[in-house]
Formats: sequence, C-alpha cells, structure tokens
Amino acid sequence: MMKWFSKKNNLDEMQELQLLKIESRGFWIGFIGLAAAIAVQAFLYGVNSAGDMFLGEFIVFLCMGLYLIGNCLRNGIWDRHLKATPAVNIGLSLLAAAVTALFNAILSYRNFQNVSAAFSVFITRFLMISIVLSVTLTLCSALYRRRRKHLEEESDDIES
Amino acid sequence: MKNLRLKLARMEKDMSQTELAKRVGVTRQTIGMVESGDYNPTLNLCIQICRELGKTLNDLFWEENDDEVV
Repeated sequence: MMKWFSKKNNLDEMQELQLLKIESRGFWIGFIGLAAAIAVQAFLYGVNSAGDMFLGEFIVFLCMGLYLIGNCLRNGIWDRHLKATPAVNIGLSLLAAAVTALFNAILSYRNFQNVSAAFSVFITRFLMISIVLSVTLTLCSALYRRRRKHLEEESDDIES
Repeated sequence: MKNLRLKLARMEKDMSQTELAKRVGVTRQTIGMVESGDYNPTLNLCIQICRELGKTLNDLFWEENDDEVV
C-alpha cells in the first residue's frame, strides 16, 4: 500500500493556482536561462563550436519553444498583450533580428577584429533573420486566426 | 477588496476559518485569502461556502456597482 502517493489531488484550488504560477515562473526561468547559457557559451567559445558545446541546451530550448508555440496555437492563444497583426509581427521580427544580428556582429568582431566584416555580418544576419521571422510569425498568426475562428464556431455548435 | 460579509457570516455561525475550510474541503489559508480579497474563488467554492454558511451567492459575493439602482 503506497501511503506516500495518492492519485487524488492534495491541493485545493488556490494552492493549485499558486503551484501553476510557480511552475510557469520556473518554466520561464529555465527558458530564459537556457537562452542566456547558449548566448554566453556562443560568446566564450564561438558559434562554430555549437555541435560540441551547446547542442544539448539548444535542443531543449527548441523543444520548449515548439511546445509553447504548438500548444498556444492549438488552444487559439496568441499573447497577453500583443495582437497578431502584420505591423506587430514585422516590428517584433525587426527587433529580434536587430538584437541577434548585433550579437553575431560582436562575435564576428571579437574573432576577426574587422569592422567591415562585422558590419556585413550584421547586415546579412539582420536581413536573413528578419525575413525568416516575419514569414514564420505571419504563418503562425494565420494559423492562430484560423484556429480561433474554428474554436468560436465550435462554441456556437455546443450552444445550439 | 476584503469580503467582510463572508467573515461576518462565518462569525455569526461561530465558525473558525479552519472549521469552514475543513467543511468545504480547502485549506485555512484559502479561506483567509478569500476573506482578505487576495484570492477570487471559483463558483464551485463560492457555492460550497454559501451552503455551509446558509447564505446565498448574492448575500456573500455580489457587489453592486456605485451607479446601479438598487
């Protein structure tokens, strides 16, 4: 007889809510921590040593991101504060691309001490990442809108 | 916002937070937080609390708007 484990939830609704908040914070600490760990390792050891140094972290980070995106889209959830509009998507893509490209340019300068090379890295990465992100966000927001519409129609069916 | 009506109703029944918590199947901390307005209980818990205290949802949880005509 296992007295230390019960299938019944030992928590009441308030404790359950608090635990969910704690777990949610834990998830974000892990997610941001992994991103920071990847960035620091990339800075210390170079992006090219990714296979040796931070492949594991990268895979976990990718899985966490895909889990979040997949489940949010499945449940028709976009964001608490941002709206799924083309302007917001493009703005976010440009911001994320600028940060990533700047990071890559700094890495390039640290490795080769060449300003023009670092600048070209910045431009190419900025263009590449902003295009890929814009397309991805546009695709995701289209999927979100489709799912949202489906869920709304589903609710109408239940009521009638 | 503090739920003083709940606290009064509990005291009228001469019931402690612990006792009410035990009856509705939650922790004392939860009842304390409902009374202090730090936690919004689910409808199920509101109904259970009302049943235990012999009150209606209106008695304990309804809040009138200032501009509403009563």
